[in-house]
Amino acid sequence: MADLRFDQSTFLAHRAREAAKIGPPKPPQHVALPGAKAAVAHDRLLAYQDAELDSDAITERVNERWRAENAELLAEHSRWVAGPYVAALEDARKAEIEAAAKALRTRALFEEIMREREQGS
Amino acid sequence: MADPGVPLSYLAYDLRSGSYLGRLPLAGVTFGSQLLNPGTLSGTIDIASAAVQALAPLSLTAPARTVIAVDYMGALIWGGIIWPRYYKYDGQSRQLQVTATELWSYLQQRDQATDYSAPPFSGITGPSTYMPIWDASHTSVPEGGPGVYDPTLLAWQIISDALNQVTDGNILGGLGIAANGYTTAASYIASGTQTPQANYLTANYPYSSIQQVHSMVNLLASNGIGTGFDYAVDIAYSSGPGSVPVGTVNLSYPRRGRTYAQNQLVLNCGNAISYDIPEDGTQVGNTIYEQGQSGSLVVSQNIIPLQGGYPVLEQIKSRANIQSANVLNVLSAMGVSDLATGSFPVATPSVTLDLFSSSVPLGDFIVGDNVRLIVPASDGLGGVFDPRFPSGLDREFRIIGMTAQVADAGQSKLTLNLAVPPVVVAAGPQV
Repeated sequence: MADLRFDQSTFLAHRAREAAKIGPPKPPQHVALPGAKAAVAHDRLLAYQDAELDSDAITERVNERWRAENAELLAEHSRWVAGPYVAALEDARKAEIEAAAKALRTRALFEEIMREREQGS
Repeated sequence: MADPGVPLSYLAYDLRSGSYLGRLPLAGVTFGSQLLNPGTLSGTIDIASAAVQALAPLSLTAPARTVIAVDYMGALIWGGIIWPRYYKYDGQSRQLQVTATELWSYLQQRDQATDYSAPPFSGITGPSTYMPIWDASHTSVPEGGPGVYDPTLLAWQIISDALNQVTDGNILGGLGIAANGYTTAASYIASGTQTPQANYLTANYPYSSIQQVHSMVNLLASNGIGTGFDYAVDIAYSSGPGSVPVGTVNLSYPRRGRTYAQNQLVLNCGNAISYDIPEDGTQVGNTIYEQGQSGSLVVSQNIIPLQGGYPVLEQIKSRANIQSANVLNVLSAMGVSDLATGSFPVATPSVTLDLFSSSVPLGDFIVGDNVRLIVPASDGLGGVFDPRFPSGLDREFRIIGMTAQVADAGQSKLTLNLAVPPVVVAAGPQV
């Protein structure tokens, strides 16, 4: 039966042995840089760094490439934003204003009726 | 379910392997990020619908083993782990409420992998091999002694050990780690000017007082500009939409994000849905006492507010956790950074914009970026646009948080929380 009386030093010794078996960390195949819309292949990242580009410049290049690849989608999105989306927002706002106006009218009518009743009685 | 025109989709991946599980039919979604603090996503799934049941919503949202990623027009802009899931059965509701927290939250449930009581050695390297990342600066002086080290590298070694040296202790098929975009400690150090120059720290973390990885890194990071750094886990598709997601722990020294000169982002309050500008004088300090360990004290004063008519306002900052052979240098750097943020009343504006048609579009900025905040002077009809700013406002702020509210119908909103960007000298009130 396995010895379950683990103390801190045996646990650390186990972990150190385990770590030795795992070996040094492997460099990632792809790297997600802050703000980049696609991950950069590791060898391309290294090539960029050899060309003395910093993280922001590399991100900018990645995003330029992404924009070129997705130009169609971006154009479609801006059409949607300018057309149906804005129209839907305007409709929603109009409906909201109309509902508010209707509520106000109803209340005014109700108050008028109440006033008439008070005067009549 | 959300409007089909909305260009956002929510994808579920297996936490450990990163394999694709499916698309989530989330409604009422709100997601956000904060600097140095993982943000959350919440949304609901109506499991009464037969169409939703066919998607196996329960296995797509299993807590503590599922990643939700937000795709905006073919790029991943947010990634987080589902921790809580809530379900209530009553007369009407059959809704599953899901909450995910950004990938960094994994490190809130991980502890230090080994003993760091005698750097540059650790429980993993043994007593004769130096830790490769921790001591990449070769500053264990005297040879093999305690030494002083770059705080970014300390964090990198701690995270790397926890993720890479513990079996089954990594997520998304293996997170990469990078500091300023460099994936090896040697190339990061070689990049020179963008690494700390004189503010190296001494640190040791005995296994007997075991700590959480997040709190160790957070403490190192919150040391103020010049010593501290920013961190986050970023997510992206490895090669084009639909491919396997890649996560990278990004440590950014001296700060995360770009300046206005680099990103040209303009936040025009003239087009905003609303904005509010709280100002707080209770935390103002133009004279700062930085208290380090063993009685060390550094006093820093910004004389600009005093010349401008403010009285002396003092703050004591306890930095008992800082250990360094050059503790006075570190404390003066912290004094300068505290003066930069606290010399004048702190303003933290927040601006709410339309999510899909704002001048600061989703995916074009990251939390940490600077923006140019503009309040127009005139309303175009000869009047003042906003009496709070009779002559307008044009100033650089830093995005320290964002919240996106995706409406199922009507207007979706993006709220940006702003703060003064890290600077060296504060020369006037912030707004």
